[in-house]
Amino acid sequence: MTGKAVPTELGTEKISKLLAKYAIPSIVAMIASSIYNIVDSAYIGHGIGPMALSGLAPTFPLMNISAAFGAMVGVGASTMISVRLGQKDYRSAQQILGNAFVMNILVGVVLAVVTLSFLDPILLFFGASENTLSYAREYMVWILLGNVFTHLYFGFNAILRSAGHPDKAMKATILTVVLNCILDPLFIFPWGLNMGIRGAAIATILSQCVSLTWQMRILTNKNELLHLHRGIYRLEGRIVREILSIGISPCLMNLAACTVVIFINRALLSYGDDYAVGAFSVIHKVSFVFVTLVMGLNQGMQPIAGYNYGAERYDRVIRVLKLTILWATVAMTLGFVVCEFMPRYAALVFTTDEQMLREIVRGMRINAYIFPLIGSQMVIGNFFQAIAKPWKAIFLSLSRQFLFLIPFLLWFPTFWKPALDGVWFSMPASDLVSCITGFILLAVQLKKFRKLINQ
Amino acid sequence: MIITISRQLGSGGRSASRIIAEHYGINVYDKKLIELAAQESGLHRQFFEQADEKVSRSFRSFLFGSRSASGHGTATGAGSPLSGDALFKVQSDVIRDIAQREPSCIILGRCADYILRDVPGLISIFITADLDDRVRRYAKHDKISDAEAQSLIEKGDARRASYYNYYTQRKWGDAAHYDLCINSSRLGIEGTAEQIIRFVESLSAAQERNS
Repeated sequence: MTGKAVPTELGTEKISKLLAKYAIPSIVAMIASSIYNIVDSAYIGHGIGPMALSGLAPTFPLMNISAAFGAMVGVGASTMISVRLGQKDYRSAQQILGNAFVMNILVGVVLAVVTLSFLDPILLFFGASENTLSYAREYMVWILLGNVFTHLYFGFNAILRSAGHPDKAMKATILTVVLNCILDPLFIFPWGLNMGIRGAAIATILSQCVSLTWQMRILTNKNELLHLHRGIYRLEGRIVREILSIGISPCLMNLAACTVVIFINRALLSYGDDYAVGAFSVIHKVSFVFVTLVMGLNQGMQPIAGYNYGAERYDRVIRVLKLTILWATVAMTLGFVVCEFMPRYAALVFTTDEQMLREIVRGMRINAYIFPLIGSQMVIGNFFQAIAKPWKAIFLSLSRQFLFLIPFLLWFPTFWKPALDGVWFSMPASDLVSCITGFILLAVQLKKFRKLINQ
Repeated sequence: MIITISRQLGSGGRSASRIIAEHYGINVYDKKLIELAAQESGLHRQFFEQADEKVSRSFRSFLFGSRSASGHGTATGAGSPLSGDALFKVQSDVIRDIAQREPSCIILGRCADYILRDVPGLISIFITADLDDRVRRYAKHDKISDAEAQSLIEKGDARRASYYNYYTQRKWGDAAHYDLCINSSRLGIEGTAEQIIRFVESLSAAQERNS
């Protein structure tokens, strides 16, 4: 953390080199998390059956809500720690670490207790039905029992990254994913421990616990500048408030994303059936693979676009924007090709049940209609974030998955025949409108840049 | 000897520091820091001006997190160079640089007392003044009404406090962090400057005796 706050190479090095340097680590981390996402469901779909897949669907928004609160502490604490380490203020940084540790435990326990007490009504509200509730419950109970460890694991990973160990954070992520891929079949299948869907949950928690143990070994090492020791665990009002005030906005954004999934699940269940709900969770995961590629690219673009904008090198700003849009479009077009031309193969990763396959293929095709355009929409949103225009960034980010989607989701099924297709079509429709919005905002911004360049 | 001076708005801290600087023939770093930070980083000065001694506390940034946009949570940890956190780091590097280059100077505000806390012999001063005096001075300087001046002073001090508290984990204006706190309403600005000079003299005399 002793390096320069702002690496000036951002203003001089070749754009393509910079983008590769900054984006590839993010993309690798993102791929790891989307592999984990797929593997869990794939084992459950094949090992237990299509209804288990549908049972998983309502657990995702619930797990994401928990993750959103975890990220609130994680982002807040790691931002503060990074600021303190930048000033070599190790005492304050330790205190923040200790406070974050306690807050992670508190938030983890409270969320687990609250959701466990109302688990059935929550799952039913989030899109479970009488046929799938037992699967959802069996999975979620174990996930929630391990909730504290999940929160600590993600929290420590964020802290390791800001404490100058992004490599170790990455290794912890990969370790968890690999372990989960090995443990999942062992716990789920009849030839192993034969625990069914419960086994998948236990395997997830166990993998996180192993990584957590390793993280704890790093963070209790007295030779580390930042380590856990006595006297830092007393919660201090100032630190807690500061952590929450930084972390609240990523938390709200994540909560908005969860809300949409709940809306979609409920619409699919009321106009369709359990198969539709299960199909959506599969489609969501497949799209997510490509979406995460774009998110990784975006993380790489941000510092480059931000610096050159700040240094008034608008030519370089435009160049990095164009290059990122190009790669994002390549990634999303790849997704388009998979979803439109080989949806069955993608679906076979998760299930062999014919009815489920049909449902997935239909939804996946409709959902992916606008994919080649979405890449640029996501890049544009992050671009505004990078050049310190958070209003537009937030608007664009919410527009695709919230502002336009929810009204379409409520409106389309009222006139579409069959109504279920209306639900599916609301997704590309919202994508299209938000892409157009993004292009308009970008065109205005580009005009400003051209004017500035010509001055 | 490096002197850091923090001050309430309208307390005459800047004028006092100019008198002290003239007495010793040394530099005062104030807005000049922004120019230096811009040069050092290659970023336009406008971004440093916007972030100067304030942390965005508006409802919008609370909700939409222009502060958490600093990107510490991302895989590479490379966030936006335009975030307040990154700009603060640039500015604090510049302040440390100056402290190393110039054996004697005065730095006004900008958390310098915290940034340079490990510099041996650092003298940190906090200047206050009675509210009436501050309002009068501010109103006269900016040619505005007393009521306007008072509201600007209150807002400005709140901004400085939250900037300082956010970046230092200390409390702005808490006497425990300063070597000398002085109210300029008692002795006037020149008297205050003289008093500070006397304090500095006594300190160096004490140091000489000890060594």
